[in-house]
Amino acid sequence: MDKRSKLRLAGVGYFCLLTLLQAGGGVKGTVTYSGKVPRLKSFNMAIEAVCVAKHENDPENYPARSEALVLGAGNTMGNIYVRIASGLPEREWEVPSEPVVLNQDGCQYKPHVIALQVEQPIKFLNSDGVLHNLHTIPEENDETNVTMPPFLKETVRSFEYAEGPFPIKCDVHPWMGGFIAVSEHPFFDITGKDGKFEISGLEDGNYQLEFWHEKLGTRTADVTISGDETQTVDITFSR
Amino acid sequence: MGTGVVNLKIGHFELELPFSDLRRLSSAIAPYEVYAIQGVKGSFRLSSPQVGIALNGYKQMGLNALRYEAALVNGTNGAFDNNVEKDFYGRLAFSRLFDGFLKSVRLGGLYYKGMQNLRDLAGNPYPTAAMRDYWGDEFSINVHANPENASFYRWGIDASIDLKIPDFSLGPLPLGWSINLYGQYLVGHDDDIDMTNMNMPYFGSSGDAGGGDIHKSLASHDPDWLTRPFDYSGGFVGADIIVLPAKFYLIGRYDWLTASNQWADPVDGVDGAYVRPAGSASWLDGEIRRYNGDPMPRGMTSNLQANPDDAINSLSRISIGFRFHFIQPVTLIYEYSSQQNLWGFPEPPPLMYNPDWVAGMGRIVNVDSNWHMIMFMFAF
Amino acid sequence: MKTVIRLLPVLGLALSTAVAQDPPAAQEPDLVLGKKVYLQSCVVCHGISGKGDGIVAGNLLVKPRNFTDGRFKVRMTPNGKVPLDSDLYRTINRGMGHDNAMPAWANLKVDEKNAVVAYIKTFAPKKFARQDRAKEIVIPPRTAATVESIAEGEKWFTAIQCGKCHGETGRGDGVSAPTLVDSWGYKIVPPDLSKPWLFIGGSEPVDLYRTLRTGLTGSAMPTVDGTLTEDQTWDLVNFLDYNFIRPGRSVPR
Ligand code: HEC
Ligand code: HEC
Repeated sequence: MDKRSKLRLAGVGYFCLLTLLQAGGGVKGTVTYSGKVPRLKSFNMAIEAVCVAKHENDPENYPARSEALVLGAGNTMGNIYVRIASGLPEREWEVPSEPVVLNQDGCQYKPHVIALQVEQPIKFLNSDGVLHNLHTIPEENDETNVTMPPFLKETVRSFEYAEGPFPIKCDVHPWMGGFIAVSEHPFFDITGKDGKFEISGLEDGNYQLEFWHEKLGTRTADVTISGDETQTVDITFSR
Repeated sequence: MGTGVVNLKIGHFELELPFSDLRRLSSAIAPYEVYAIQGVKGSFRLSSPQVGIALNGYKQMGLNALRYEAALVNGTNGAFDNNVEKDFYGRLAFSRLFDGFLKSVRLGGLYYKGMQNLRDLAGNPYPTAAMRDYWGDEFSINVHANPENASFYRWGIDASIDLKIPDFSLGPLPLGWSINLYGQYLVGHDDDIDMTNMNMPYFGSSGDAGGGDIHKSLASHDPDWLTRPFDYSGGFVGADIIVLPAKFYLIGRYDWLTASNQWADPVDGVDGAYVRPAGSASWLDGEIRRYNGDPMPRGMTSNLQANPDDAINSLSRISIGFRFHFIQPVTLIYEYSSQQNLWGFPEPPPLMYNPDWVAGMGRIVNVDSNWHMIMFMFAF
Repeated sequence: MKTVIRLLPVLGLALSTAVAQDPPAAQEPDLVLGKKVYLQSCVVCHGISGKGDGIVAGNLLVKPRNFTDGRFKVRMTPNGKVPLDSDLYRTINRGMGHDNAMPAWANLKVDEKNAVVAYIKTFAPKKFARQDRAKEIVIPPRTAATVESIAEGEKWFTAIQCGKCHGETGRGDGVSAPTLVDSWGYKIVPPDLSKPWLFIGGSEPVDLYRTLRTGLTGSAMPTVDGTLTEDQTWDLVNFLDYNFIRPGRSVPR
């Protein structure tokens, strides 16, 4: 029996348990940034007319800039990968069959940071109609580097091993960069521009939360869950 | 699986010196001074090609390696050694590779032992046959070309260390410097830089021991002066930096040299201390000079006022440079050297009737100099 | 008849060299010998601990392979998978073209090559533990290089926009060529497709097929696996072969 079918079976097995778990406690909060806001690099997309056009038609995003720091009102931070780093019981978790979707749009990855579970499908879309290549550079997983030409609108892949966010890039368009995180469990979230995250379905226990940002590294926070309550953990990245 | 190489060289070749001249950015300026130095113009220099036979090689034992050369040679360029005595050159170096920041260390030593006769600039033995005839026929003075070969030796120790600075980037520029630090220390000794013999004519003044307008052989007078050994020591330390492989290289080097004594222009020194005290030329000497100029090698006559004891006896040089290969056909080399005191061969004095008689004795001259060298190379 | 007889030993020799090319059946790897060979022949470039940081690495534009992360370019295994022993053996035996410092080590004895393969695997034990799951791709018989097949291949070359990196005329001067970097962060240059001696994985049709199907993991060069079918890949190979690599041949109808 290969790993995938074993996992699927395990998934069915845990299904009831998980519905129970869903009802458990949770943790939510807001991630904010403090410090000088750097001027982010703007991208020169001149080699790809299609993408230039896309951005020109969207004045708010023109010129396109690096998404290394995405701030909302009140310096709330987007693109923070939040996960339970420790405290979870040893077990195999159900893997959603629903794919996460990573779009290559306007020569940028949307979203810029994406997370999924081990063996969960990830669907890559190419809505630019130009050649992209999907080049992931993980430590644990197999590196992939596949062509995504105009005529290939989507391709579905998955990752075998859990690991922290690793880069995905497009060699054809050197400014294109994003991150993919692969988690063994479903307790993770990625903040939006409003800096908010929420992780639910946690059993009683002591957990360590880890917040990751591509440039500023990680921060951790401890949280104790009991009953159905949702704890609040706010965190600030400063530099 | 090769574990080493052995080469047998016969013919005309360069010795395997610890730091080959080929390492330099260009051959335009800044030679390795201790390899290039010559006591006598046109004579032996360590970095010149030699004629002979050599066995050299490289043997690897895991991370350790041994480099060696043993050579039997007969003189620089094959022209300036008129003896059958063979010179010997030997070199041994040990190196080891390391992991991480320090990549390798090499330590080595060299030894050269030679025999040499003096030749003048034209390559004739000195004093020349013409000179000997002149002195013999005219004055019945028996001047010999130095019958004995003067021996000389060089020994040195050297070290070379390779380092790799971890990769870093300067803006969009990925860098990761590889640095080679190297150094050479060398001691040189010539038994007799003057290469004259005891039978050189001596012109005493009337007040002098051998005075009375009579010429005599020096043998009885002041042999120490004539067989002066020449000693020097010096070396260089430097760094070669690969900033961007195949693109941008930086070099920096410091050379220094100290000579124990050197060919000097006497005289006016203490009476009797030199071959001929100043202003006290014999009648014969005066005659010769009047018609023929000064037949003696420079330094034996009193043309310049300098006391060898006061002579500057060290020189030093700093060299920096880079090589930049920026676009396909163009490479730019820039070098700058700043030197304090030069190693030079003073021109013969104007009265000399045959400048070729002057063997050209090297000495340290009090001249500071700066060089810039810019070279554009186009390759198509 | 005479010539045939005279040719026989030659044939025999050819056969025996062909056999010698194939790595012999796996036996207990000789790590002691492997290490010895490695220290002798590979360490100056690939480094004592296999990180690709040997003493001369600083002076090389194409950096020697870092063996510790299990990324290898020339493989019969699908994109991203670790190579088979036979892949490593082949690379070591024939080198990696004339555009980088990796020499061909054909002069090593067969057991020395096998031993060094086993030894370099010890630098990435975790990745090579997955080797049994890395299955060799199957190379179907070559589609005949007909006018149609070549035209079809050209269509794919254009449709995939290989020219973005390699240039429309295959000269290695595509718009994206100047900015390419490999997975280790070093600049990488797409070869001029009409200079097959630069190719790191060989330029025979099967080599091209393998390169296109499995990609060159670690480099910027992507695979067409998942984009083209096997037949379409052969068409593309035929196009590369007749258009760039060995041009000027008449095409069989
Ligand atoms: C002179 C430097 C040099 C020496 C010596 C050397 N290599 Fe390499 N090697 C390289 C370079 C450079 C590359 C990377 C080429 C590239 O990525 O295009 C490489 C790549 C490789 C690869 C990777 C192949 C792949 O598919 O990615 C292997 C395996 C390898 N070398 C094995 C060896 C072995 C075994 C030895 C000793 C017998 C050796 N090398 C000696 C420079 C060297
Ligand atoms: C993102 C840029 C990029 C794209 C797109 C790309 N290549 Fe490449 N290609 C490269 C690079 C970089 C190399 C050099 C790889 C190396 O030396 O490691 C390469 C190498 C090659 C080689 C030589 C392989 C070898 O053994 O050295 C061939 C053939 C090739 N590409 C064909 C193609 C074809 C056909 C396509 C279109 C399907 C294509 N490439 C698309 C970047 C690209």
